[in-house]
Amino acid sequence: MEVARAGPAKGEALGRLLRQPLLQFVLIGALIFGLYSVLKGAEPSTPTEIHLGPAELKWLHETWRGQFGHPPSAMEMRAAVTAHVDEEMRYREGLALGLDRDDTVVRRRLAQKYDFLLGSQANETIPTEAQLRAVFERTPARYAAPALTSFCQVYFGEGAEGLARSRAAVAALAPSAAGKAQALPAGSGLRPNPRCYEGAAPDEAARDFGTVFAGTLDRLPRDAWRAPVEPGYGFHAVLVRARIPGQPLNFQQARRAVEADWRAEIVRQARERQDRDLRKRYRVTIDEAALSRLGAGTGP
Amino acid sequence: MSNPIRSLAPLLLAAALMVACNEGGGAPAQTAAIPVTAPTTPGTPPSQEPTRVLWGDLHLHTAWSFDAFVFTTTATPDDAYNFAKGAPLAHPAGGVYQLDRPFDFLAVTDHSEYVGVVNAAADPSNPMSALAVTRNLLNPNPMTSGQAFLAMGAAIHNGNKDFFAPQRAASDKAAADAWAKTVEIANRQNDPGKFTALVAYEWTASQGGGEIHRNIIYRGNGAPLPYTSMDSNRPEDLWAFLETNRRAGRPVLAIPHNSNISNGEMFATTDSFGQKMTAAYVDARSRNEPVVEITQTKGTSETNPTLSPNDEFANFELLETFPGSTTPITQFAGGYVRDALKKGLAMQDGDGFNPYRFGVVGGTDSHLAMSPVIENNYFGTTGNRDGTAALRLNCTYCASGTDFRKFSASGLAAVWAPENTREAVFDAIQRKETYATTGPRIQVRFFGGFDFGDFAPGVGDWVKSAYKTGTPMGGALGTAQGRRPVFVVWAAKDPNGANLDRVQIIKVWSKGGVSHEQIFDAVLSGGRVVDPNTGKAPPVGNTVSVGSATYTNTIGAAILTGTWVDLAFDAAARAAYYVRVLEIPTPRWSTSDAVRLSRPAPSDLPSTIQERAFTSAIWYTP
Repeated sequence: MEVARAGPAKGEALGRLLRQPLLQFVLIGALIFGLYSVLKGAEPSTPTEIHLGPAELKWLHETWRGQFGHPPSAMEMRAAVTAHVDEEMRYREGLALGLDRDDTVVRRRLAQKYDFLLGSQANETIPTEAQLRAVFERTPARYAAPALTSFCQVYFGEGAEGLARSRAAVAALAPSAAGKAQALPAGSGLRPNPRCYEGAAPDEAARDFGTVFAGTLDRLPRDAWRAPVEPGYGFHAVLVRARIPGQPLNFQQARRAVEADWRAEIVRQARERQDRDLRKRYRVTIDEAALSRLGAGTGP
Repeated sequence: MSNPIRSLAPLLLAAALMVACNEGGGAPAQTAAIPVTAPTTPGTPPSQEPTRVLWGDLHLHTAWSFDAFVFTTTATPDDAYNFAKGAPLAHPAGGVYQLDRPFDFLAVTDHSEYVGVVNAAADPSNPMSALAVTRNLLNPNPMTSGQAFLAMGAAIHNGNKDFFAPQRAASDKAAADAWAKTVEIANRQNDPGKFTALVAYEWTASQGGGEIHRNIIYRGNGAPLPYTSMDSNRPEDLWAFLETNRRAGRPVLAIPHNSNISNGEMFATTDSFGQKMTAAYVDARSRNEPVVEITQTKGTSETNPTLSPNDEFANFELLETFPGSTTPITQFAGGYVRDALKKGLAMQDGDGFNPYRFGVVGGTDSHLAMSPVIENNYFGTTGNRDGTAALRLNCTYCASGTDFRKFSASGLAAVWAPENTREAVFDAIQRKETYATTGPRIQVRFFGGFDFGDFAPGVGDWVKSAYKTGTPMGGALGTAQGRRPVFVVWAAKDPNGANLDRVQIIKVWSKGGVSHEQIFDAVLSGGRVVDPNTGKAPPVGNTVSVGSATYTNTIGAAILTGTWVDLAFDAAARAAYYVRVLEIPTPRWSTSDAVRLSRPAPSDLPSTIQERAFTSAIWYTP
């Protein structure tokens, strides 16, 4: 609340609050303090005790100054104290009622924060060469270059005309020319892309011709011009000349991917370790019958 | 008039552009477009071209930006680079998103002010975690954290390095650690030849009523502690800091952004002290700021209908209020790129120097560590504020001044570079051979010259010839010697996206200290022609089904190319020419959101937009 008081006039509910007489604010605060000093005398260490000693008050004072760049006036300080007490009471009552547990936003946010701390620790660790080699040796087959396709393409333009021209060009090929890269003329030639690609990865094909084209390449027969093939620009004739299966990489070639995996792995391990620790401290029981009735099948 | 809210909250919109015939009675557009299906010379496929287009985002925040963490983003720079390389990433408001095609480069540009401090303060073992300011910033109620965030913004604005006052040492250490990690991660993620990770940050300054933020991009792998707006909020001081780095062998540049919310300060006629600019000021500015960001999620800054009343496409993704505020933006001059290009030419006429001879790039300014550039897969920019369709369309934060419905799925940078390395990307930006798109990967080549020889754009080795005999975008024409300049443009649609409506050439010029603008439809799809009476072409049409948020590529063209001669060329007048490429109309992201929510598209927002590309200009100096 303190924040809103000095902030540039913004929030609406807050704005209304601000328009309330400050005096009223301070009086209520004083009342609360009076009440608490009574409670304090009667029940020194109950959950309903809120004590603001010199340390807490100094902290509130510093916080104010940190936020607004100047020390609070007497009234501002009083208001800050009141707001703090106010928040603390509500916070505790809310906890007692389990509002934190019932609020999905609060729950998820806390869980995310917890995971984030874990992840950022893992982020800071630097792997040794031996650790990376161990990751690589465990599953070397995982580290392979993508499958590559060598192909040629000719563009015939868009629409019905492009469609007809691409079909006609391929249909007119003599059988002896059907698999020859130079058998077709240059087409419209308006694309800057090369006529022929040697060993293009799927990303490269998608980059130059769109993702649909990259998928289509895998389904075309080898060594025969085919049309129409419709990538993002219009109609093409395409000749697939070779397919090169993904080749295994050696450690040096795979190093970057290995490190990414290693990093993901330590985050996962840290999370599992944390899960194990947590599960040791919590007894979790699940009504398997009820779960079953909800269609989740039988337990593991 | 200092309003820290404006200067710091993440934001909004964008605008766009152009008009035809601002004056002079509108000469009809001169086109010599080559039809898409023109017959061409057989054989001779183009060989390796001198440059290829590379795509990326030069403006992206992660959890290490103080505001992003407040917005519940927890993804790190590592996550951001992995996302740019094509990996999926979880969104703080739920869901997992992935680019349809990887980027070629990325600059993570976390705010240098308190970089990495708020997320460090969330660690219970950090002494900052106990502070009330921290607890407020991390309060799960967005209204509470929002107020705390504004207070932090105010502190930054006031140059206060003691926001976490009793724990100043812990705060400084967290920032230094975060920067060291930022550099280390960029170096680790950089993969020469395949992916460029740039060492970068954002200097988040505001002076009067508006933002004058800059992104700082290094060419190499090392950089000292970043400069912050708490060190100084004057660009002159920032440039001095950058010069020191340059002299120490660390090439670096600055990219101004969101001039649309600068309250006219970004492209002012004075220096930051309100004094008349000097040659030294202009030298420093030009040396440090070769390009500006023309479009992003918080709006497009090309032009505004007020500045360009004859531009029928100027009313595009405009931000109407300052971010986090209901205060309308009313100062347009000094806030838009076209206006600055014009003003620069006029200033050169008068003062003999031009502070605004810059190129353009795009960036998203997303605070999610992932770039929202795809209209039908928009995921917001601001974490738990606008991370779901309902949060966005319900105007959840409109009352507090941020109408997230006005944000754009926008901001890609394209550079023409010989290879994908830090050096090549940086050098392309330095020489302004760059352009921006509002998201689609539209390819645009643009060359100008007085003697192009005999070739047709799009055919054979035309690009090599064009480089040899002309100048690419960002460059300068030579001397006229009685000739008229010729411009060649080639534009291809995003292979995953919509067809193209038209290619426009926008000419700005100055004579006797008075500047002008005129728009020419250089290439039109579908055989349309410009009406000589109005100077305008008929609209391309609209295939969008608003009810299903779909469109078809049955109008427009996949590739548009042509040459254009400036018949009204005046060899005595300074001029600049840039290209704007328009797509056919497609559903705006808010229309797709409405379909997801099974409700009508918002009636107070455009249901369709024409996405576009803007190139750096080519200049002519008498």
